[in-house]
Amino acid sequence: MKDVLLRVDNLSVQFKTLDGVLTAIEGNSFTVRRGEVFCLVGESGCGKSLTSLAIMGLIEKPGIVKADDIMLDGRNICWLRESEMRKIRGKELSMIFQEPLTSLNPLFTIGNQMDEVFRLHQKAGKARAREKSIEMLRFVGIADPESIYMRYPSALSGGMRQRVMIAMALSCRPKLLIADEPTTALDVTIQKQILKLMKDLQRELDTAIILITHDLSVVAEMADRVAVMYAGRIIEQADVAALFQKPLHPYTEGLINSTIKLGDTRERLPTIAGTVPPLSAMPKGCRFHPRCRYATEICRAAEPPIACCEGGRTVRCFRYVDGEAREGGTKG
Amino acid sequence: MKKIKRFFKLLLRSSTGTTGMVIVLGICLCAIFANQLAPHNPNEMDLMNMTKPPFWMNGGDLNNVLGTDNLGHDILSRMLYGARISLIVGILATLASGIVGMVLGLVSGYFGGLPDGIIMRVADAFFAIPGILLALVTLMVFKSSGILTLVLVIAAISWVPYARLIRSEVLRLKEKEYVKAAKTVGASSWFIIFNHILPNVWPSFIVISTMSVAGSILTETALSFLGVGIQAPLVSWGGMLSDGRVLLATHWWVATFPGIMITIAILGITFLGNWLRDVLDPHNKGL
Amino acid sequence: MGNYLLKRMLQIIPVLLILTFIIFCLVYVAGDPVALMLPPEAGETAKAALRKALGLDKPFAEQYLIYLGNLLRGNFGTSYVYNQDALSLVLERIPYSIELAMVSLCCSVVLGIVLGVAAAHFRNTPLDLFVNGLAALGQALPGFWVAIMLILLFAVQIPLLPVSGAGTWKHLVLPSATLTILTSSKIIPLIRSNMIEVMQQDYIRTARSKGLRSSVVVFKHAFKNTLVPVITIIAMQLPTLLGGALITETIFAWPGLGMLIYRGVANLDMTVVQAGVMAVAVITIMANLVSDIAYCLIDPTIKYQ
Repeated sequence: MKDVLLRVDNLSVQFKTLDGVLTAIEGNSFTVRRGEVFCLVGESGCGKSLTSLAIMGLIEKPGIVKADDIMLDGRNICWLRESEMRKIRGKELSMIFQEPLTSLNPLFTIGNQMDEVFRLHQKAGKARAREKSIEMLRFVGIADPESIYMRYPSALSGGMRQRVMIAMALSCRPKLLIADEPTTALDVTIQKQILKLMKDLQRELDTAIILITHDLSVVAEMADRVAVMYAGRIIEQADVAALFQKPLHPYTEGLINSTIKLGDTRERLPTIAGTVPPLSAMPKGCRFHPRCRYATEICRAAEPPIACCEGGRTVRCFRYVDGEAREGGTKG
Repeated sequence: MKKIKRFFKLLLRSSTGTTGMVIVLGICLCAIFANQLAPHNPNEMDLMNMTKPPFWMNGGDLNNVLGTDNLGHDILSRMLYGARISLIVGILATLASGIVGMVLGLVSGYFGGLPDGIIMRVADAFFAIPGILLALVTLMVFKSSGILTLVLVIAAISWVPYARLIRSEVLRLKEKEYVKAAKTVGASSWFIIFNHILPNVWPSFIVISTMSVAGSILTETALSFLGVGIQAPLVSWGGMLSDGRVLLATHWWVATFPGIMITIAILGITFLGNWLRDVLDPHNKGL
Repeated sequence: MGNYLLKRMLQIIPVLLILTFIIFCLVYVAGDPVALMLPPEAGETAKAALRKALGLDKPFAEQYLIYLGNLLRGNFGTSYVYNQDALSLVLERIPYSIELAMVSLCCSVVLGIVLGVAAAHFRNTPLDLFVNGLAALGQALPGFWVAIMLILLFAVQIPLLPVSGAGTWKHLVLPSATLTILTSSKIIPLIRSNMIEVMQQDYIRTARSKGLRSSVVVFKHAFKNTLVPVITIIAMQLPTLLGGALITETIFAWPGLGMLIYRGVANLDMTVVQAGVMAVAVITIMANLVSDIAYCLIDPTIKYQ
């Protein structure tokens, strides 16, 4: 059992709007162990990106971040001053984003943008930074790093740009890399390449990755452990194999059932009825209950607590209080 | 009825928009009802009361609230009548330049090729000469300066931004799927222009028009100030400023009040224009 | 990039031609200058003779070609007022106009960048509203009124600066202040909205996630991207500053191109007028070309249309 690298306790993010204070994510706690791939899954708008931005400290007004604790490698980063946080960003903790096309500054060369990280965090001089940047570009599988170094982002394809982003993020051998839907904007064939690259690099550098995605196949391929989010809450956490074999939360069950598996003989794919409610109109009680086929009275009345089940799994559902599964529900 | 109510609700939400609307309506009212509102005939020379200061100063009284100029004209009355001229010139010039610019922009953008090239180069040539300069020279050359000439001249220097904007909008819309779809069903060019492109071009058009009225009024006042715009006996704010310039050291009010009026008018129109842009143009980021 | 610039430079030629045509039309319509050039007692025969000598009795097209030929040789005719070659008059005055324009432009750009970036950074705070209000006010003020008011305040009420003329740096203050007020009011909102848009881009988020300092993020990453349209904005102000400054120059008796043209108009001195207008137009076109070049240098990804 590897030791814990990141511990997040009771993280919440709220926004002050003209309609009052809206809570986007609340009560989220999870840990990430050294060198593992931790997947954060959920639909668009469920709060996955917010969670990662909160950890990085990149949420600005009118967003308010609250947490009992965020510990990175034993160090509390929740209450750090911005100047201290900057020292960590890019060095011990880094992030890559969904849109490689727009995540690189179009007016500066690749080399210039890569050098920045070395010159800032490793106090490297111009020549040394250039050396290291080119080395890093080669490391992520770019064929002609010297020439790419001189190019502008617009000259590169989407897949190449994402490789550059990965190179930039891993430059200082961070302990934790947060990847926010890194392959969503790429072609399927490129997706595979990038994911394989990330897996290889991760093993070689022993970097932990928080991989955010909405694609279950990515989860199946990459993850060691998974957390499923819905409407701003983590509703289930488990090892990847266990999650797929036996999903506990009705939402997870619905998600997994609606994907095609090899040898699938079903004629129609099931869907989860209904849609995610908007932030300003969240239902009382369990946030999933309007769409849940197991919903009971208590689900409508109160939010379910986090229940710990066998194998270290957790789930937020009234069916699993005291670690025991209880059947119930008005339907099915 | 519902649409009007919604319009006003939207308007009231924006304080600048409301202010702009109020100012613009105020000026329109002044212009329309100048006859009734003005305490004196603007051309009436009261030689007994020349260069009288505004009523709150020594020597002033409520008969001439804002004082008189060197020929005894009542400043307030002249300002009200000046509104009429400025609005007429502004609106007419905008209409003229708008129509010309719109047509040229549509043709240029939609048909492209040679017509586009020619129209755009002509536009560049026009635009290379600063508006006031061109207006000045044209007025000098044509030796007349009635309202009509003035309107035409101001229109002639204002059409370029219209044409360029409409052209770029058309270029953008031309590539949209629904235009291509219409083409595949055999719709004629003019049909497409009128039914698909024009409705989408209106919002930008309205916004530019509002700003253009402001610009036209400023140009008209500038030209009148220089003496080539509105001539006596018609009253214009620019002309009043020109009259007041020589009296600056001793009778500051003759030049100051028309200037304030112009500024308020332009501000009002600009605020209204900005609000219209925020409301009508879905592409504008509304910063 | 070379191709693009070549294409741009070639585009100038038809524009210049159309320009000469427009100006020639104006000259033609202006009518008979002969009456002004001869003493009032001159009879019809003298006038007819002069007309023939000047080629004014030839058909329109032929006159245009002669005119064009003259232009290419630098012959704009002689000013009957100053009794001097029109082109040389213009060339005398250009430095003054450029001086005024450059000083005003520099001040406006500096003011524009400082206030625009500040307003964007402190968006939606009282500072932002204040700056926006100032800019709106500046755009609404009629230029000549600003000039007059400045004279009233700083030359008459408080006799600090000279009312008009040129010669010392003191003379430059009020006219350039007028132009700066007018120009910066247009520049500030543009820079502000541009900066806001840039700051919301993804690459800014990437820069932050790398741990870069706020100042580096703003002044390196954001700034260069903001500059791109700023160059166009600046180039757009040039025609106004040069020729439109006509009113300012006239009020302050600043001996630049604008005032020369205005006097020319007042005196019906066509040679001077058309030489002046041509000069302004050519400078504007050149300025646009320079701004295009600068644009290309800053943004390597420009799409050449």
